[in-house]
Amino acid sequence: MDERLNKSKLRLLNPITKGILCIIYILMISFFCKNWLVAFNLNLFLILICFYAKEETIELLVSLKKIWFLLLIVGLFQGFVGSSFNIFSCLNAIFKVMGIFLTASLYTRISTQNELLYFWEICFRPLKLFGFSSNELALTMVIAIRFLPVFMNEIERIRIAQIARGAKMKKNMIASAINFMPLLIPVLTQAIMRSEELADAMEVRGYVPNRPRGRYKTYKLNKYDYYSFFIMGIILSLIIYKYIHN
Amino acid sequence: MILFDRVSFCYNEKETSFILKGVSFSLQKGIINGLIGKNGCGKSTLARLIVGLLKPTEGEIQFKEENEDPNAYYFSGMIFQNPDNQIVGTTIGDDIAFGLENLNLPTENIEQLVVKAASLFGFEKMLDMPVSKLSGGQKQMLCIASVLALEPSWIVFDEPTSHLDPWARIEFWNIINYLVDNSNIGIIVISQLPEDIIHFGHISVLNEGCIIFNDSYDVFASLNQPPEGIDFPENIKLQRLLNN
Amino acid sequence: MKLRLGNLVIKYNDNPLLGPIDASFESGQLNLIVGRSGCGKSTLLKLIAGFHSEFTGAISLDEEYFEPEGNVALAFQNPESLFFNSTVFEEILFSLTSLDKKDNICELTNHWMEKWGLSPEIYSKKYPFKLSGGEKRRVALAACTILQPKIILLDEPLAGLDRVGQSDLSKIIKNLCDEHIVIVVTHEPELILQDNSRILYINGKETAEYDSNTFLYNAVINPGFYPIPQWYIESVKPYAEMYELPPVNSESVANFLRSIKNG
Repeated sequence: MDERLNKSKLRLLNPITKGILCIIYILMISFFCKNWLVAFNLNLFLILICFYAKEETIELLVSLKKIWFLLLIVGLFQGFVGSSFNIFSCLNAIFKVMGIFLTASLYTRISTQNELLYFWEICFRPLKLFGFSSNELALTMVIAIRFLPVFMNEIERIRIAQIARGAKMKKNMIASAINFMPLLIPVLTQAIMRSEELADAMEVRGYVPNRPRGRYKTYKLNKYDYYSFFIMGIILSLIIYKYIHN
Repeated sequence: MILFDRVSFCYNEKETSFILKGVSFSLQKGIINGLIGKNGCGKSTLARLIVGLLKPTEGEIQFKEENEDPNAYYFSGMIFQNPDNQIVGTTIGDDIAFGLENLNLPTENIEQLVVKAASLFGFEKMLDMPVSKLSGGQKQMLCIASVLALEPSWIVFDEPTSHLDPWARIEFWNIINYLVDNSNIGIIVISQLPEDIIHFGHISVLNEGCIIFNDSYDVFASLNQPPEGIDFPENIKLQRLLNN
Repeated sequence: MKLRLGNLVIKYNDNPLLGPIDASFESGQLNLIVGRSGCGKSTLLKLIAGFHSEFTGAISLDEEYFEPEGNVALAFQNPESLFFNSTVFEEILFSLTSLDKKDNICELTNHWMEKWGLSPEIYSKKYPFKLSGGEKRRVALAACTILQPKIILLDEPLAGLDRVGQSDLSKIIKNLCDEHIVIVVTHEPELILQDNSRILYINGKETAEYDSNTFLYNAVINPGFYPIPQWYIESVKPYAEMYELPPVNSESVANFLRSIKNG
C-alpha cells in the first residue's frame, strides 16, 4: 500500500524507462569503473537522484545492512593484490557491489508487480520468433507470483500437520526420500486439485489460450521519461569518455 | 430462462453410467434458484453444463430472454467453492480486469468496467491492493465482482458459503438478494447445507442424475417427506414438530 | 485435566495479533473457540501445539509447566488433504510407526478406528480418496489423534460436511471429551453446542469466556454478537430472559417451547 502513498517522481516513470535505465546503470557500474572515484560518484549520484525525487532514501540505504558481510568479503578479496593491501581497489570493489545492489533494490522499490511484468513481457517479445507467445509467458508468471504465497503457506501447513501426526521431519526434512513422502504427496495432490479449479475458473471467465487479449494497464511516455533518458545519456557519455581517456 | 431439454451427460462415450439421465426442467430469473442434492448426485456436472465447461452428451440447454434478441450472446459466470483457487490477478484491479482482457476490449473500456464492478463492493479505492491481503469474505466478493464485470446473464454459485465464517455468510446472502432485486442476472446456488435452503425461492433437487423435485420453496416446505438424499432445514422441522 | 492460558499475548511478526487471553480448557467439557476468520484462532491452536513461538504469557497443564511435544494432537481444516497412504488402515497406523515400541499397534489401530465409527472389517482395505466426505473426515481425524495425547485440537472439523456427516462427527467429538481436553475451533458452534460446553469468544483482539447458556442468550439478544440461525432467535427470544435456552436444533427447541406452554 505504500506504493500509492508514495508519489516520488521515480515511480511515475514508464516501466520500460525504469527497466532500461536500471540495466544501463548496472552495466555502467560493472564494466566502466576503473577506479574507486568513478564508482563512488555513481553511487553518490544515485543517492542524490533519490533525494531529489523524494524517494525513501534512508530506507534504501538502511537495506544495505543486509549485505554488509558480502561487502566486507568482496572488499578484502579485491584489496589484496599480490601480498600488499590496496585500499583503492578495495574501495572500488565495495562501491561497485554497493551500486549494483542499490540500483537493483531501487528498481524493485519504484516498480509495481504489474510494471515488472509489463517490462518482462516486452523483453520476451523476441521469443516469438521461436514460437513462444510473450503474452502467455507473462500470464504464467503472473499466476506463479500470485500462487507462490498460497503454496508456501500450504507447504508449511501440511508440514506442521504431518509433524503433529508424528512424521519425522524437522527443518532438514530432505534427510531421506521416505521421510519426505508425507509432505510431497499431499502437496502435489493439493496443487493438482487447485490447478484444475483454476483452469476451470479461467475458462469460465473467457480465457482461450493463444487468442489476442486486451490490456488493462498501458503505460505512456511522459516528460520525466525524456528527462531521464537525457540525463542518462550525459552520464553515459561522461563515463565512456573517462573510461577511454584513463 | 434456462431450459434443459432431455439433457444427458456421461464423461466417456462408451460408458453406460450416465451422470445426468435425460434431465428436463427450467429455471427463471428474479428469484434465487437453489440446486441441492447429496454428494455425487450430479449437481456440479449440471453447473458445469450451464456455464459451458462441459457439453451435453444428448439433449440441449437453451437460454431464453423475455425481450428476445436473436443475436444476443448469453454468458454465464460461475463462482467456485474456494475463492483462493479462482483469483488470477495479483491485485484487485488485475483480477477484475482478467475476464475483460480475455474479451479483447480496448483499455479505456476495461478501465471503466473495472471501476464499475469494483464500486459495487467498495473496492474502487483499493484496485492496487494485493489480493493476498484480503480476508476470506473479501476474496469471495472479489470473485463475484470479477464475474459481474463481464455482465453475465446467469451466475452459478458452487457451494459459496462453505469457506465463509457466519458473519461473512450473512453478507453473502445480502449481496445475492441485492442482485436478485436490482439486476437482471439469473442466480443459481448449489448447496448441500439445509440452512441455505431458507434463502431459496425455487428449489431443484437432484438425485442420482435425475430431477426429483422442482418447485417453489412453499411447495417444498409443504411436502410430507423431504425428497430423497436431503433433509428439511431446522425451521421447517420445528414448524412440523409444533404442529403435531 | 486443565490447560490454563495466563495473560497470553500472541504476536505475529512482532505485532500483537490476539490477547491478552486468560482462559482455561478442561476435560469433561467441550471447549469451543469462535470468532471471525483471520482473528488468530488457528494461530492459537498452533501455539498450544508448539508450532508458534511468538508469544508472551504462560501456558500450564494441571498447574505444571506445559510441554507441547507428545501431549497434543492437532488437526487442521480439511485434514483429509494429508492423506498419502494407499489404504485407510495404513493411513491411521502411520503415526504409530514413529513410536519406539511397535507391539500391538495393529490392535490399537483397529480399536481407534472403531472409536471413530469406522468398522475395521469394512474400511481397513479401502482407498482413502474413494470414501464419502464424512468418512474421509473421520479417517483423517482418527489418523491425527491416534497417539491419544492429553490434548486434542481440532480446527473446523465440521466444515464442508453434509448434515448427516456433521451430526455423526459431533457425537464422536463429544465422546472424546471424557478422556481428553478437546478444543474445537468452529464456525458452527450451534451444531455441537451442549450443556457442558465452554466457549472462548474472540472479538477483535479481546477474548471472553462463556458457558453455553450465556453464549446463546447473548446471541439471541444481540444480533451483532454472533449470527446464530434466524429461526432459533425468532422462536426462543420471548423466553430468553426467564429460561435456560435449549441447544440449537429443532427437537430441543420444540421440547423447550412445549414445556413452557405446559408450564
